[in-house]
Parts: sequence; structure tokens; C-alpha cells
Amino acid sequence: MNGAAPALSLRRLRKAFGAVTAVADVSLDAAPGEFLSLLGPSGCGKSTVLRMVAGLVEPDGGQVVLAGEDITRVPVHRRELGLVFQSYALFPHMTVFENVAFGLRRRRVAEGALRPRVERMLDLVRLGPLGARHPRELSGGQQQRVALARALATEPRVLLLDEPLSNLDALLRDEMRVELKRLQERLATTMIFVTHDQAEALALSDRVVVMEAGRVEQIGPPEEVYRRPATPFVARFLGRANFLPGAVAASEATGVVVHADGGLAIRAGARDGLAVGQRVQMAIRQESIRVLKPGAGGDASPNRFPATIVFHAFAGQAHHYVVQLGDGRELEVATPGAEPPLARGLPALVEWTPEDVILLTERGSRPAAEP
Amino acid sequence: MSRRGWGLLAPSLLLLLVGFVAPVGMLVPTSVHPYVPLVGITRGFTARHYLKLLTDLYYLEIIGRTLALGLVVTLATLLIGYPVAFFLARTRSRWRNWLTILVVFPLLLNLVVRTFGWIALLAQNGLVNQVLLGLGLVSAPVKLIFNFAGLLIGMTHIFLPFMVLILIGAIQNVPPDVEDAARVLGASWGTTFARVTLPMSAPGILSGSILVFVLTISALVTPRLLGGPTYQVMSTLIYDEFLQRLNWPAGSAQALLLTVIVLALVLLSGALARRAGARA
Repeated sequence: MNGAAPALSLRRLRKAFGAVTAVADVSLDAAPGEFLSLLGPSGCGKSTVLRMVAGLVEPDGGQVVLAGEDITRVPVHRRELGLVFQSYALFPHMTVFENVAFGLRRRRVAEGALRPRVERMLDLVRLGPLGARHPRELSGGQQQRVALARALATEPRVLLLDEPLSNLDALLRDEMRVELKRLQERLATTMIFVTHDQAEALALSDRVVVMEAGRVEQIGPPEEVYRRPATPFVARFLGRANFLPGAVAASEATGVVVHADGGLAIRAGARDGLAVGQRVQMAIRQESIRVLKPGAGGDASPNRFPATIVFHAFAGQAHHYVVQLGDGRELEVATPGAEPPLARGLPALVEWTPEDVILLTERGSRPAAEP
Repeated sequence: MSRRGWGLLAPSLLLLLVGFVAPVGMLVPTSVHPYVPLVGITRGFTARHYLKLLTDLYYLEIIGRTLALGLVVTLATLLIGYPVAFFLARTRSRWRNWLTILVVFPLLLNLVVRTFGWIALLAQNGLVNQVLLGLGLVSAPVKLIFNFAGLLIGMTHIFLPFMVLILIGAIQNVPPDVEDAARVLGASWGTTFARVTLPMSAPGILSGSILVFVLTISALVTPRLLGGPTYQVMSTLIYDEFLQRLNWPAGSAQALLLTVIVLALVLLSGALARRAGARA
């Protein structure tokens, strides 16, 4: 990301619809060939950002820079981008072939050169023999592949995808996810992918941009935003976590001790910039917590507490537990489904490592040190 | 379909039978009887009412004029109505509902009142001619009434709301995403309109056109008032034949011809729509 100029840069983009601020101040860079996701709940402004890049929405302020060229004022049809819609937005009155050829015809590609290019695109999305069909004769997954082929046929400088998988059923979505990722790796097209599905964003992206209320909360590789969320919002939105408020009791080079409200002393990884007595939120992921039988040996983690299992459900890949700690606090726990389950109502032990404790201070401040 | 489904259709089928099929059916025998002035309808069979209708230049001119009027009024409402409908279908203005009411408003006024309004405007010394003369654009009053121009202006105005209402629905059925997709793919606004919006709203254009055409060639009050007693179209001709000249057989033949034209047109456009649908 450091060497080449960014394929796309957004600089302080702003947009308000009437009194409602959709995008407050968004800046980000996408490297050439990068798969960048904009992730956030509905209404966070991610689609508006995408539409401003496409030129379909005019920003109130800021710049859209495409490979060094400011395109903020360039009309939509001269931006040479690709856009895939959640609704597919195929042309219902044209065949699949003509849909894919549409962008090439606008660029006045000669008939002789056009046909092989369209056919190559259709082969790429595995729709080779369906060129003569009309969109309504295709399944949802096929329609979205046509939309993908149509957007890629013109070799766009950046491909924008607006929740392209959200209208597909779960199984097809997983399949398309793999297909999209492979296509992206093969064509090395820069892709900006808007989604509200955190699993999708984590699985596909080189980097994830987490947005909330028109602002960027955090930008980073999937593992980083998942394991080291910068804000309580990011921690809450990606994955499921237990949140424990507390106050810092000690902060040393070997680690941090936090007194959770209710009395537990919890150890976390070392971190700079914390003052004794400072209020913090601790986030502990469901799957970071282990549930053990009472009296289990092994290396006891400094965070090992007696608990009672108050709920258990088996969900295939995982066991879901709710355990109650001595102070009455309940934690949600997910353990691998292959392990034998522990019965509800029994006493147990729960433990997690200090490194699994995510310390969150005031909104917006980032974890200063890495565990 | 289940028997229950057909039951739901029964009232309207009955109405169609009593109100349309039976009267039109009764015209058929009437139209082939000879008519003798001062005597009335006589027994016997004759095809002369039809022959006269299809050979006499007087009648051919009226038929041609009626169809031409239908065609031109349809085109005029389409050309004026499409931009209005496009605006109303796409605007997010809070005035939208009021503007739609404004489009529909003429329908709330009595047809005769509206037509007399046009007489006042278009007459020899009406408002339009006074303005034209006052501006020096013409040296003598322009004849805008009791001719094709008068009927065209009046009927375009009267049938415009039907066209606009149908087109609004058709244009709203074109998802904005699809237009946006075309623009991102490199189509200018004009190309997007020509290649995407217009073809996708074609079903609405077709049904609006059929409706306005049929309404125009069967309208009676407006052509009678704006055309006067001498500038005839088929509907006024039929009216006169039945009620002035009491020549029911000739009137029946004319009415049947008009009905056949309308039915043929509806069937033809249905076939056109199916072909377009098969393509789309």
C-alpha cells in the first residue's frame, strides 16, 4: 500500500440530505488491486459514500480522487467505474449478452472485438451458454453474475459493489462470496465493497472500513478490526462480545489489572496510556472464553472464575452457553461444537487469557499498545 | 382456474353481455335492412349501407379524419404528457401530490363546461385570436374552431390527464437503479433515456396510446361542440344518422365499423405488446 499511488482516495467527503448528515467526514485510500469493504449498520452512510464515488450523489464537500485524478466533478458516465447493485439492476428488455455488451457499446467498441470480449466475460462468471436469455429467465445468483460480468466487461478502474450478495439466500451467498473473491484475485481489480454483514466483510476484504453515523470508526485488516477494535462500536458490531465496565486498578509493564464493577479483578495485556482509577470497558469475545469442569488442572489463566451454566444450546459448529459468575453477572460463551458439552445447572470454571481482554477507553481512542 | 375464480368474474361478464355484446349484436341485423325515407326500416337484406360507407368519398373522408384525429391527438398527448409524467414520477418535491392533482383536476370539471371554455378561447374573436392579433403575429383571425385544429386542441387537453396518469405508473415501474446502472456504464442522460427508460416504459406508452386513441375516435360531445354541425367525425355522424335522419340501418353499419376498428386496434396492440414482451 505504501509504494503505488492509491487507486482511489476519498478526501474529507461530506454529504447531508436536508437536516440529516449521511456522511460526516470520510477519508480513505484504496491501494491498486485491493479489496476494501465499507462495513456498518444500515444508515451509517456507507452506500452514500459509494454513490458519491460513482458520481450518482454529489458530495457537499471533499474530493474523490481516482488514480491521482480528481473526479469529484466528472459526470457519472465519464468516470469509467463499475457498479454492482443489490437489486442487480439488469436491463430487463435486453438479453444477457446485450446487458454485458452495454458498456462496451457505449465505448464504441467495434462489433468484431465486442463479441469475444462479452463471451469471455460470460465465461468468467460461468454463464457462457446463457447469452441469449433474458434476465427474468435466470435465477437470482445468475442475475447477480450477469451484473458482475456487465460491470467488469468495460475493465473499470475501480469496481464498486453495493451489498451485491444481500438479496441471495444463505447458501448461494456463501458460494458467490468465494466466486467473487477468486474473480478479484484473478483480475486484480480494485474493489470497494459495501456490506452490513460483518462475516462477509471479514472473509472477503484486504482491509475493512468500519463506519457508524457517517464517520469512519476504524480502518484495518480483518484480523485487526476484529481482535483490536478501536471503539466500543467496532467491538460490538464485529462478532459477539461480553462487555464489562470497570476501573483500572494497576497498569504495569507486565499487564493491566481492572476491577470490574461487581468485584472481579480481571487481568489484561499490557497497555500504555492508562491511569489508575480510569474508567474502561472490557470486551471479551464469546469464543475467547473457555468453559471447564470444576477442579480442572492445567495452566490456570489469571482470569479463571467459578461460574454456573445457566443455558446451553448446540448450534452445530459451536456450543452456546450462558454462564453466571459469582457476582451474578452473565457471560455469553461459544465453544467449539466438537467438544463434549457441559450440562446446564452444573458448576463450572470459565477462563480467558489477558491477551483476549480488549480494553476500550473513551469513544474514538485507539488501543495504544498491541498485546 | 377454480370455479370460485370464475364466480368472481360473473358480475362483470354479465354487465359486458348486457351492456356491450347484446346491443352491438342487435346492430348487426339492423345494419343489413333497407331504409326507405318517410317509411322507415323495411324487411329484406341489403349491403348498401356498408358499400356506401366504404366507397362514398364523403364517408371515407369522415373515417379518415376520425382516424387521423385519433392518431394526432394520441401523439400530442404522448409528447406533452411524457415529460410531465417523467417529472411527476421522479420528483421528490413535496409539491408532487399537488401537481398530480393539478393534472387530474380537469377531469373533475364537466366536459361540456371545459369544451365551452375552449370555444371561448378559440373562437373567431376569442382570446387566442385577440392575443395573436394584438401581438401582430397574424393580420386576420386564424380559424381555430369547427375544423381539425379546434378538435385537436380541445381533445388533446381533455385526454391528456389519462395519458399522464398511465405514464406516471409506467415510468415509476422503471427502477432508478437500472438507469443509474446505465449511466455508470457510460451512457449519457440522453442515451440512458433512449436505451433504458423509454423501452422500459413502452408498455405504459402502448396502453396510454390505446386508451387515448379509443377515447378520441369515440368522443361525441367535444367534436360536436368544437366541430359544429358540419365538421363531422364518425361519432357525430352516427349520432346524426340515428337521431336526426332516423336512418338506423346506416347508423348501425357506421357504429359497427367504428367498433371493428377499435377492436382490431386493441387486438393489434395486444399482439404488439406480446411481441415486445417476448423480446423484453
